[in-house]
Amino acid sequence: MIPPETTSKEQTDMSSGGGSAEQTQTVPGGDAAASGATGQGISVEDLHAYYGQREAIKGVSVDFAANQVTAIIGPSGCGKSTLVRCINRMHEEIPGARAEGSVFLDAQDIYEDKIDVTAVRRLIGMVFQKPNPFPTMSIFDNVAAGLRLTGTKGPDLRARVNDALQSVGLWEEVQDRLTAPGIGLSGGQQQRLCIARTIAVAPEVILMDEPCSALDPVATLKIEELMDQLKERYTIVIVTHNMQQAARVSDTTAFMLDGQMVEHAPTTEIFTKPSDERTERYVTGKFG
Amino acid sequence: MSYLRLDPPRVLPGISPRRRYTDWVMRGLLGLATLIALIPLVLILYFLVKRGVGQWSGKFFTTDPNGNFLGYPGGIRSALLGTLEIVGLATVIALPVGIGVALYLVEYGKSSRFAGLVRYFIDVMTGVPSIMFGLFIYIVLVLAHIGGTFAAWKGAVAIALLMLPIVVRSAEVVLLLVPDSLREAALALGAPRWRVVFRVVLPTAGPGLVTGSLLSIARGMGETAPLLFTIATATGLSASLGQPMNTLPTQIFQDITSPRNAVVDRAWGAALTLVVLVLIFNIVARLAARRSRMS
Amino acid sequence: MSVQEPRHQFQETLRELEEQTLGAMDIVVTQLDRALESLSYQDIELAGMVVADDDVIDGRYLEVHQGILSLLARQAPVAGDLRVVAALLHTLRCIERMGDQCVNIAKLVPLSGYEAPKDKDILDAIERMGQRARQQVAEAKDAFSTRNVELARDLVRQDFEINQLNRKIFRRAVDIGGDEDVREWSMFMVLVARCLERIGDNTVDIAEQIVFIVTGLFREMADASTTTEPTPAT
Repeated sequence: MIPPETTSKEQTDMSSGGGSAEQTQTVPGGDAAASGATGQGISVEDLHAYYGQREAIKGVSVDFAANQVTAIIGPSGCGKSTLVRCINRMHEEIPGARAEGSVFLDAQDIYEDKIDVTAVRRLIGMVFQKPNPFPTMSIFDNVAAGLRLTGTKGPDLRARVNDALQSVGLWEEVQDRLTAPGIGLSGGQQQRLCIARTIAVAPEVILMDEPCSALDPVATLKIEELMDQLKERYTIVIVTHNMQQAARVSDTTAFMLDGQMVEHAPTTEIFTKPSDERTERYVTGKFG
Repeated sequence: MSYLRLDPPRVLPGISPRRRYTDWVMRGLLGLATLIALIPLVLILYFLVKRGVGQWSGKFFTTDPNGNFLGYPGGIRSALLGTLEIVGLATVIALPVGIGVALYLVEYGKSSRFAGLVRYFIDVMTGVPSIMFGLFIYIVLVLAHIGGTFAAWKGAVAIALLMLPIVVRSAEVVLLLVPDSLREAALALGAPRWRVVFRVVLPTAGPGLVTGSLLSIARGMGETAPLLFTIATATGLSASLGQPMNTLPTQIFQDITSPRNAVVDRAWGAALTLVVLVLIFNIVARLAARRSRMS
Repeated sequence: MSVQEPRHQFQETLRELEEQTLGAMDIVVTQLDRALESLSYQDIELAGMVVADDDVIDGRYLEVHQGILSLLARQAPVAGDLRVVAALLHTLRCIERMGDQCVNIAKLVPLSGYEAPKDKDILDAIERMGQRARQQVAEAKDAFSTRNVELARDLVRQDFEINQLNRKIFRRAVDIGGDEDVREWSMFMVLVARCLERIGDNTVDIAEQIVFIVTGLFREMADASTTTEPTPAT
């Protein structure tokens, strides 16, 4: 199921262990993004996450199916942001925070001892709530930043940037001003720029932490449509506090409460006939 | 129809006379305080300009202060060049080290105990009188006869030590201003931390770092005490860093006590030059800051 | 004033819509009573009132329908609330149809003639059917408002009797069809029986909706198309 190029690249990354992740990798000729490779699924097993002494995720196990959009919903403080940050191992960047358990990207546990964290993050990308293009870089440089920051060189850098910009529907809007500063775009465009930056690195999975919260309704709809297109090539996990959005964009929905996974089911089911009483009460607005 | 109104209409009250009086008094006091602060400043500038600007001439900047005993005492060329050279070297030492320390404090150390200790000592250093740096280098480098006795490079080291805490402090502030969201974005792309620092954080903080550096340079240029113990005094033009070198502050220090009026005048000219130099650096720093804020 | 639950306004509105719908079922019961009474006593005036009062049911239908549209557009109900809204829409249709059946019965009153009813069997059966239908409508309302799945399923069983009576009346009408005096009257009675049987079917439809609200599953319950005794609780 995994195309050969991806496998060899992934295994090189994963097994380079605690040593140098800095050797420049040439972009494989038939790179994952262009060859139509599909995303891999994520499998979380008995994950516990802590902020110092406080346990924020209390033994969560959940599967995110490949090439689908999964929405994670739940009241504030339930741990949904923490969960996705554990998936791309950003959680441990916070001082005093740690995570225990397993997260499998397809067959490999990214929490194994020798795994190179930066390689994990190249395969599992993240888009944040507030668009954060690099202010000192142009539009082109922003999209290329992911490639340059990870040491990837290669003759088709420009091709990959263009491809990424087209994938997010920004190409027509910016093709004649690629050297303009990235922060000169509107909010919605900036967020799409950040998505382009993420996919230029050819990840398998894209995590989105409330990606539309800071955007106006039109920009939000554009990005929701984009998610629908992107899921053909990537696996998408989106955290959202907007239930209507979760209902619109996701194939399956997971409901979290107090650091635990309460229910995970096809979206239609969650919003017409949830199995758990707590899910029913949350989606009908009886608490939240 | 007035009979329908039950309450008298509400009217906003005016300012009471007592408040008006208090307001006036406070304004007066603050104005007075400002004047008191400004007067010495204005006087200094006035005297500087009055007594110094007359000295400025082509000869002033192109001859060394080792002129005839009886005739023209010479200009300040060697002093000016010496200042620039020594402060230049000090900058080359202080900036990388200072920014490096700031990077450690912000990016890597964060809340560790060691970082807290470092921060504390840097804070202490900002308060150390400049003469202490001179004494320190004097004992450690000069008396120990490392590479000769008095030498320009030792003076540069002393100045660098003086500049260091300023660089660290201002760099730390600027680096803290770089939003964490940028670091997160770069990390999430799979960049190793050092690349995040060098390719994202530093460029973003760039303008602010430049401003802070320029301000520390301006400070370093004006320090006399450290130089007295480390480079002694000299008059001749010297480019060699291993030898004593002339600088503006030391030149002024020497000249101002001279019995010859021409020499004293030269001191004023040199003082004005120094102040103008510092002013230039400050203005450039502010312009740079404004430009970076506007972009 | 106690702290109100989130979406208080929405829950209130939903409750009101449900009450209005169930209130319409009360009107149907009244209409049925009056239609049957007008039939028994050949009361053309009463029959006329039944026909006229159907406007009330139609009006209620439109009102609740509009309310539901507004609720859907503005509040986006989900899960249990969504099922209730869907069930209400369906139930409203059933109520409207039941109202129409009452009108049909009432319209047959002036047509069935001024002569005394001719056949006791048919008469008894009609009366029995009327009682059954009335009880089913009342129980349907009760089951809906209490979300009583057992009672809902029982309605299917009860409807079986109405279906049987309907077939019995038909056969009897065929049997006595030779008698010219009775023939026309008995034809009208067959039509009345059909209306009552339809009312019964509508209560079964409402029962299905009740089960859907509670379980989220929609199962067709045995209706008049089957001839055998229905198995309980599908």
